[in-house]
Amino acid sequence: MSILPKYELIKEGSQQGIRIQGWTIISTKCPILNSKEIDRVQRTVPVPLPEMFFGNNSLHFSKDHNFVFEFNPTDALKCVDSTKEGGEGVKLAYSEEWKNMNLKNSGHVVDVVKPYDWTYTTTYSGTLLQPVDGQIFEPTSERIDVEKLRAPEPILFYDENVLYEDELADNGTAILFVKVRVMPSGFFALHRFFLRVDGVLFRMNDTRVYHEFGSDKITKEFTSREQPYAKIRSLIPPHRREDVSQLTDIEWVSSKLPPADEIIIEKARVIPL
Amino acid sequence: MGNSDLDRFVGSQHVLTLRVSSELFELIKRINFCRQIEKIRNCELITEGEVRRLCAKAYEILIEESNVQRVDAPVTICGDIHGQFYDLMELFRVGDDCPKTNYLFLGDFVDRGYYSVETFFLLLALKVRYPDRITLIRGNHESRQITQVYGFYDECVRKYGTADVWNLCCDIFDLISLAAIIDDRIFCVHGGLSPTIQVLDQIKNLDRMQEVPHDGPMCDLLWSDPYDSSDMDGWSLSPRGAGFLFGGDAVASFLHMNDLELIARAHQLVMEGYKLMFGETLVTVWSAPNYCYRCGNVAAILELDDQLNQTYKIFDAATEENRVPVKTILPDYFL
Repeated sequence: MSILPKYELIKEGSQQGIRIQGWTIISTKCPILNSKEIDRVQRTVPVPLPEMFFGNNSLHFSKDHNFVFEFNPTDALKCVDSTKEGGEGVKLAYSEEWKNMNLKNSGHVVDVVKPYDWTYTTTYSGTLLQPVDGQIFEPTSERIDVEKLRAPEPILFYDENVLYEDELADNGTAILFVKVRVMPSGFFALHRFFLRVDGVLFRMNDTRVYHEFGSDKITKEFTSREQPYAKIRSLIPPHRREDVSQLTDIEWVSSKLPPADEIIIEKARVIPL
Repeated sequence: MGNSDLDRFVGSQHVLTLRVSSELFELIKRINFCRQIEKIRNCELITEGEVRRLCAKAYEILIEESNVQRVDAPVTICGDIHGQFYDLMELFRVGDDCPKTNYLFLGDFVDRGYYSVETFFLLLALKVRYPDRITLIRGNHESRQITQVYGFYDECVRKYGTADVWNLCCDIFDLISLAAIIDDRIFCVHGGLSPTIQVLDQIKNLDRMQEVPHDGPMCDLLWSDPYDSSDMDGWSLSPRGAGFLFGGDAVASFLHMNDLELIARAHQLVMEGYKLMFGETLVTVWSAPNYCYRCGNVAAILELDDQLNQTYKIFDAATEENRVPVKTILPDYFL
């Protein structure tokens, strides 16, 4: 048995986290934004805010002052497609018949005024704050060592944090959340965008971040996976064929999505202890 | 006393006995309903047999109601509840009990919260017991399709073992009114307006007793949203490709055509519990505090006095509601 490194848990108001090996990892959890805050944020992002926007939530990592990185919902929204093309990417199962019927019957209705990707699909993979000496995430071929993550180590700090969520006016779910676990040997975070559009598709954009304490790098992997709704639905076990609630289980859906075509692997330098 | 006198006497006794027994029967029924309401108020599950009787009685009442229920002020308007039973009890503390206060619920009684079953049965039992004191109108969640995805179906199966209770409830959903009108001045609906509806009579002519369709005026009333933007007036399609957004012009024209002063609707989460739009001609009322047990929002109800003066009462989540088994976060060796 190795000796546990010294660490200190943090719990202050809406923040909780851990100080360990020169790192401070803080998860901030607050209510959804109020109308005033919504107005303020709305001016900085190109799409209407999701229904549940936890604008003050974040997961923040800092190493002394030479590496500051976080996941925050406002920056995530800045990566949502706000163009007309973005607005045409995914349409509800019954949108064609709906549009034809309604536009025919009511001549005074205009088409979508301000199209945007209403599924809130984001390619966001975190924000590097106050980079020093041109510090960036750059491509690498070295993947996160999953075996190290499988090691039976205690979890010293764990949290899950929702950044935003929209139930797509009850046509499915779009949710962005982040999970983190900190072990004696390092930390690992999963930032996940999950989308279910009923009758249409599933989509999952994952960013994984790993750092082994004492090493000089932080590794980040981004994947995007997608499958038609019907395909995933057909994988529900026969004895519960009609039970679509299975499709709200993100872990289950994740296990049924095919592997990503491409894994974008990047690393950034950090100064070891 | 002659024979005929005796006959008359015995006859009148019979009538008396009959009258007494029917009154007694009514009384017993009422006591039973009160007992049932008490049981549900304690968040106890009523039996499937009781559910059947409650639904049968509710059926008789709701089927007689119009698509646009007429309601007299004073009345208190409530928005989405979403199965947050203890918060509904908090609502009744803040707004006073039914029947002391008249209530109008704008739909979305079920789904998402942990107690959709208890919530819906309490509202239904109150409706049966005090049909003139409480008005229920239908939300987009009072639907077979939606409840299968957002929790009510699962809850029924979990609590009753089969989908029978869910089926009974869905049949009741089909009967719930689509809208209400208070003192001919305030139009109440779950979602909003429809571009195919200019006058109230058009709503009255709809065939409401069906599953919520994917399109058409009935769908719009339960699904559409107001949209306040300089980019748009009147009507536009939602970016999602189905559903409508309506602007200030559409509201002004509907109010003018029907000689109304306000539209009260629910359907959208508002952090402050309510939100006035379009020069205070439309209000969104939201009555599920700390929505989904994590949004941290407050809830509101709108009290209208007999002069239709508006008072918004704000309330927080009940402590009991948050004491329930909210998903505790357990460390997880995720990859």
